[in-house]
Amino acid sequence: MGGRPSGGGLHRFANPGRFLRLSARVSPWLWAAAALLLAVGVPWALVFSPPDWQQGETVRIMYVHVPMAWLSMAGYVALAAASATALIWRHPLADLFAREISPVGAAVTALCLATGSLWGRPMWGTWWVWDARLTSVLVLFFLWVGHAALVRAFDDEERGARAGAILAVIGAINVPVVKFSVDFFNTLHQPASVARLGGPSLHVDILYPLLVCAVGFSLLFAALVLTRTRAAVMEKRIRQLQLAQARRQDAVAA
Amino acid sequence: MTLHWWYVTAAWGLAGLGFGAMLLLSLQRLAAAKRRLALLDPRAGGRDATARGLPAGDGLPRAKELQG
Amino acid sequence: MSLSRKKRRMWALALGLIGLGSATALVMTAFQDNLVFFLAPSEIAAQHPGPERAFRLGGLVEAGSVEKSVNADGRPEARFRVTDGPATVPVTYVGVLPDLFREGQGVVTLGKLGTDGMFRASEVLARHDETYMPPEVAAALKRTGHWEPERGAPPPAGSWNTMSTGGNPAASTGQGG
Repeated sequence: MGGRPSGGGLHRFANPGRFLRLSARVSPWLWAAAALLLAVGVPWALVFSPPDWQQGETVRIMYVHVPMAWLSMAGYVALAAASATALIWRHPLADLFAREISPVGAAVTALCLATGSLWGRPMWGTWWVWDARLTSVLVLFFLWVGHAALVRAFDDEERGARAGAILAVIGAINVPVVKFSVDFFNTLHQPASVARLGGPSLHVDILYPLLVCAVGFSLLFAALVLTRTRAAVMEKRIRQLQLAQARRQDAVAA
Repeated sequence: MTLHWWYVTAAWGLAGLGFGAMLLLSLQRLAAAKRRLALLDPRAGGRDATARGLPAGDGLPRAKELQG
Repeated sequence: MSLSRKKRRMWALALGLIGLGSATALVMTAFQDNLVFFLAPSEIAAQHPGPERAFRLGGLVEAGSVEKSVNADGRPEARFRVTDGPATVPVTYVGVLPDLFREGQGVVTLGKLGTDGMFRASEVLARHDETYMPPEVAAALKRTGHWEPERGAPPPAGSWNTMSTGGNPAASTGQGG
């Protein structure tokens, strides 16, 4: 195995190599931007923004809950898009991205559910109800966890990636269900406040820190997923190098 | 008021712990991958060759350029 | 291939299947039964659910209808009326009301409708509307007569969502969002 690999192997590696070079340049900026926005957004949300006229200080949970909710859905759209790309074009980087985004997506959805529950207890008077919004977000969480487990369950990595991709694409139906559940069904959960006909129904003193937090958490999410994907590409390269090394040693021994 | 703040603290605390753990784990994982890759493939100089489209060794990217 | 790796994969597969299975099960059961999370007073007037059936009643707490007292056991008791405009249902509830409960606010109550037309609630949940405003803005809207919270939803968000919190009610007009 001392010679050059076949053309197919070279092609498969050309893109991940370029990805590592490009992402190495983007990554520090992503981390810096996330840190900067959260350094502004978190104190703004927790200290400098006003309380709500009826929720009081509990409104401050919203500044972490809403970004988590948006990320759980936007992240899933990214997962479904990457999965479709992987299914159609067999792009190995899309498979790695899908594999690495799902644990982060599951964590973000879990945080959305947990922070929502912590808001619901004092405000609604309950930790949990089985209304259409809460149930569909729980389904979203199971889809994230199911995807993360499924892609890791197969002996053959490519088969696992394929199964996970099919699940991710089918599960994408749930995203519009989550989004529009509050409009189509009567729910305990309130309708949308920001993305709403007639403009946001939040006062700007509450809306602006929310938007800064949302962008900050989104950048942090992106930086995490990018870092995990970089590590995964390197780990794949390590496995191939180890395999090549073992083959060389076998050849010498023979 | 204090009860309100308890819920706020719990929510942000969970988010801080969750993101903190993910941050730590992913950076550790990246550092470990970089280290192992450098050990497996310490040869340098492949970068310029590939950049010019020339075959470098076995034609695979070198550790240095993979690390970025 | 060692047994532990096989076992790990098996567990991962099982976890995935459990996740998928429960997701499907939840979609099948929860969505089927709970698409109608609550009934509005006018739906109740049309459907006449029996006195033995527990269900959720949802609507706005009618202005001026809340009476709070302490019952014989020393527990807080509340009487109020839930309305959706055309119809109104009287409710009694023994227990602690959630923070957001007030007149003009949405509520979802679980309980049974007695033959006397009284809804006896075992659980009262407050429903939050989609508005978020600082106390100063709410006070200004009330002071200037633009909004009576007991009577329902606030005016369109564009009329107040850029209002200055410096206490100048005149800023409430003509600013869009």
